[in-house]
Amino acid sequence: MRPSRSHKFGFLRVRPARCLSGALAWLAGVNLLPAQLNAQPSTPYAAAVALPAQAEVALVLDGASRIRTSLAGETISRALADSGLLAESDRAWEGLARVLGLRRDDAFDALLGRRVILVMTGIRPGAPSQWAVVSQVSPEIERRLRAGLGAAPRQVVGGQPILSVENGRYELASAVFKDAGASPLLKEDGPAEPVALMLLAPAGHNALFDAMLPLIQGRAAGEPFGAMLQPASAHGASDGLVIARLLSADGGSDRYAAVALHARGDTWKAGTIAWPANLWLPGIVAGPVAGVPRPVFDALSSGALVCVVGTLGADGPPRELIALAGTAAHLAWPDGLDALPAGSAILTVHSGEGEPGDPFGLAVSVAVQVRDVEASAKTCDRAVARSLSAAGRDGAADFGGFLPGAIRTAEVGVGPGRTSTIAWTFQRDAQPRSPDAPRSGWWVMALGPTGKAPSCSTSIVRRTTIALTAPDGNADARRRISLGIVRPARAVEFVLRGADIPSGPFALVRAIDSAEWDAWIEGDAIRAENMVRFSPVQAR
Amino acid sequence: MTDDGRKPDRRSHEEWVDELLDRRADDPESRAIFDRLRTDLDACRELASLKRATDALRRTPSAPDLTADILHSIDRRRRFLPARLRRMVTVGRVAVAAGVVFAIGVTAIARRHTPELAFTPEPSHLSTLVASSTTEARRCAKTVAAAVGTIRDDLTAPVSQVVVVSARSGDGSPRVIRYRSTSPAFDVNHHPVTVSWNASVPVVGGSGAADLGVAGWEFYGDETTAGLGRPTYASRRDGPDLIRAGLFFEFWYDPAPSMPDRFERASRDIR
Repeated sequence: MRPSRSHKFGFLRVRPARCLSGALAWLAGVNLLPAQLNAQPSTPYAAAVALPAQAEVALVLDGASRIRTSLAGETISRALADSGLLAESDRAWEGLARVLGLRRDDAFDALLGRRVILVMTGIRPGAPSQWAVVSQVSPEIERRLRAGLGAAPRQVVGGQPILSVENGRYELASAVFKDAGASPLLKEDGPAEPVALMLLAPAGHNALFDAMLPLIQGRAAGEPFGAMLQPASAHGASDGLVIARLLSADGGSDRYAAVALHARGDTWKAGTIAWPANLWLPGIVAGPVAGVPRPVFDALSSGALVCVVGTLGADGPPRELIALAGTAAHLAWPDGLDALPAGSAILTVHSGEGEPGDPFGLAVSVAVQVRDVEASAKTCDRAVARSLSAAGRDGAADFGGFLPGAIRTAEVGVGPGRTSTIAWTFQRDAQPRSPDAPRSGWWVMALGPTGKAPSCSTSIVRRTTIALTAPDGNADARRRISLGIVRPARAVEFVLRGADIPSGPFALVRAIDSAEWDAWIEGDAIRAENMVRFSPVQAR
Repeated sequence: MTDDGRKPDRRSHEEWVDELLDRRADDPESRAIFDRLRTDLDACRELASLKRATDALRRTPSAPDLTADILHSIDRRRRFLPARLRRMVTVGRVAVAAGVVFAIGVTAIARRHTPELAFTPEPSHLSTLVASSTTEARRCAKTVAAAVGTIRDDLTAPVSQVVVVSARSGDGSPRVIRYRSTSPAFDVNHHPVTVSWNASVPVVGGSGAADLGVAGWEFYGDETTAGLGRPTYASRRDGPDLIRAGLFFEFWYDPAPSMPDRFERASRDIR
């Protein structure tokens, strides 16, 4: 409800005196705002702090025009255009651009290129969703848009005219400021000159629109995020900031996540702070187990299509490993495996040296941190033998945990006339990873081509074991949760089997050279760093 | 001057006759005119001619009377309305005009207070942009997810080719045995075709996968779901424990589908 909207412009409810006073107040407000507020040029974080706290998702994006024309932006634009996935949106942009008398790209830059803010509520399934978008534009674009859309005044709220657009489907409010220092929502991106803010939202009891209105007038929101986003202040300056607030279903504390975006050249980086950590990952923060050091990960992931280090859950593989396992998602640890609680598990997909596109040229390896190497060796030997026996491979030996450090191998048929080798071994850590697990170590298993080449399963097992159990010269102090890298471009090239697919979703996936993440616990928050590196623009 | 001292009348005989017939002449003048008529032959002739013409006009013409036909025709084309009806028509016209004015006013007021009521089509650039962006963003996410899933399945295919025994101890949850195998390629119309089968066996009780090979298993199908690719059940009743297992066999032939074909299938599944 909008109790404050009593001053109608309607035929039967015209109150000229109030309308006039409202208009005068608006004009006075616009001209006096710079004098009233001495806000500093705002960063995305400062803008987010000023947003109404009822927002469940808030995005503040600066310099979209620069990002669009960057190497990464051009790569994505080209891939999206080739895929044809946004054809209707492109046409819609063309229509809106004609209204402004601009070309499509210029219209995008003019409307969203400086600073755009999107706030949403009701993101939970079944909840009524609302959204509102604020954009910093030039006064000329503000005028053109109002005229082009046929915006008509409908109401005045707190001295701010509310315009109706497209038969009342949207509500529009705008204000012109002398310079960008007048509102925390404005970004100062050049010499002092008049700027405009435009607020657009679907019409009809949009509480989010009402909550954003004071910000358009250069005033503070009724209940801003404020100190609620204090943990995100560590982000500092960025090109964009995404705030997510997940409401508690049982009335408890909400969960927050703040993702800061940095776009430079062909690389996009994102830093994430999520708090409180115990609500995001209730069962994973307890284990003070040293994770996989970064140098070890770099050694393991070198040349791999996929390499993921996850934290062991209480009853099975890490979730990210299950998500990446695909058709092998039914994988579960052998019965009785003594996995190290809160330890690590690693999934790696190595590209083979065989014929391109041959899935059996790939090697998949899994390494699991176990509490007791000797006991785990017996369990795993028996499980592998049983597994191979059930598959009809008679004579699969149960090594019984004998000489855990020896590499066991067995040939398995994986297709007509095709065999692969499964190899596995067990190795103690050079130094125990946990005080209560003096015989901790790793179970390393690989399925891949037979032979002695570096891409064969036995070589991979040997290489992985050595890297994982080496003494930690510079042990990583981070309480790591997840660490991984995927190389989509190489994966697509592999699975395309030599076929050239210039467009479609594969082209979009192929535009990403690598995606890397590193997540750890720091204090009461979860920190994560993500980096996406884009491939060079593919020639048509 | 005349004998009686009056000026001589110099008017023509036509003027005399006109004055006489128009009855503009008073009695003395009329007598003077009649006296003159007696002496002026041309004037007598003029008067006689006019008298004949006047008599002719007063006679009923011999033409047929078309009055009724003309009135009937006019009445057929545009009916003559009685005065009461004419008033009603006038009132109706005023009412229509008032209605038009009222409708325009209502429209203006309604548009002012309820702008979403669209009486006339207006450009909807924003609506189109919002709707298409939302729809296509969702579609894009699903499509990319399908592509990623297809790639992921391809990369982990070797793992799926081997038997995996998933077992949990003590908690009574089902254990699953999966097995997948592929036949040698057959030549079908010069196209390589392979037949694959996939078995997924949830085991309840018993000691594990090795028991499946023990004699004494009894296989039966569920009547309601019997058929290729439907669950088939097996049980062994002569053991110390009742062991039941559900077998799920899935057969398919694989004409070496291309990556786009498999992606299309994955996309359909997601949609």
